[in-house]
Amino acid sequence: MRNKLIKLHLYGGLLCFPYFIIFGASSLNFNHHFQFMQSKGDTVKWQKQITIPPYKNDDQFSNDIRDSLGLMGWTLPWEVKKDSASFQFAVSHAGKDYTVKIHNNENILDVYENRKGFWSVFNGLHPFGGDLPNTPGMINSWKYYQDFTVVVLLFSAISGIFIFLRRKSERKAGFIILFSCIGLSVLIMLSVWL
Amino acid sequence: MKNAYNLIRKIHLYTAFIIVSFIVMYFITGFMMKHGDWFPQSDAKVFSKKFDLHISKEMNEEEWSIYLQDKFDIHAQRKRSNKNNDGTISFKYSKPGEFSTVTLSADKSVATLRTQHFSAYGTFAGFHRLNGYGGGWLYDIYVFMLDLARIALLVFVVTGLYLWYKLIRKKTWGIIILSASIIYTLIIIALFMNG
Repeated sequence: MRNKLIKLHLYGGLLCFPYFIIFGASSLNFNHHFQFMQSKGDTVKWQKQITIPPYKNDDQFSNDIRDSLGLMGWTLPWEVKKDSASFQFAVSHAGKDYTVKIHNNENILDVYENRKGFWSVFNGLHPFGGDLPNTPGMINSWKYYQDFTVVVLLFSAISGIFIFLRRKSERKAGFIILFSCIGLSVLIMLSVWL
Repeated sequence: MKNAYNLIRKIHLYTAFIIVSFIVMYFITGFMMKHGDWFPQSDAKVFSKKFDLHISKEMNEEEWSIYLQDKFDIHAQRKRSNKNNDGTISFKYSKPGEFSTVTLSADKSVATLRTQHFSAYGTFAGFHRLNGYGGGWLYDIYVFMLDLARIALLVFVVTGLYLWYKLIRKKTWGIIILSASIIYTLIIIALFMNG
């Protein structure tokens, strides 16, 4: 029983190895903004001819053009800029930002593609919850992997205690440390909240 | 060699014991934020109050932030202040479940306190997102513990890898599982970078 538990504990950890690295390192970066992880990326401009869809509203229009261009990502409603002669919107995901400009309803659009680089994707995988438009199914499978890591983490915490319980020599000191730290942690959380 | 194994095992074990509550909290609140539609949500309740101030002393923004926090008895983390175009200054205070803004008039004679109270979902998100040092000693301790939890996660990964390598004689399944998870993640990263 104990050997099976150890194996499950270890194999679960191996399966979640990359996400734990991403989760730990990216959340440290959210708090400390490491210089090596900050990058503005490279921007390239390209053009593409499409059939301009009918205008219904800003969101729908932006989404229709994004789909016609085959761009992956969410349109950002707060980035829409328009006047009588032009319409501009942005599409974004962890790896790239796009700015799309339409001039005088012409069929040829200007697209500014900003490639944000490895660290942006690395950090973006921490909060990425799937359902990104125009993506291969594999990208959206990440959300199931994320949920799985939560299950594994909880299992690892509980199974880790069971595995430890078998060692009589460390049991007393271990429990004192464990329960003191849980008590202190809960106290800190409650103090912050109340 | 046995000593090294015992040391790594103890690091793995006691790091987990020390920080387990924060790691579990961080993962569970993250899970709840991701599945926000599974949990009841309601709009934040907002309360506003105006106060006249009679302060003759010159203070910088940090001192104002601390003064207003004390005056209005705000138990929350001090955030960065904003100078607005009309000359007013907004001081922000945040804690899980609550967000307060004190807007100080340009002549510094009137302060308006606006407090938002969030639902349970907003409270859990607040626990997950509480970041940044310098907002009060209690919040600094909390943020420090979160930082420890993040570092601990990296320690688990490294020490866990070592323990697996030393504990399991037949490594085929471990190598397959580890390779699969790394390859899967690299493919996702490549798809994002090229998509």
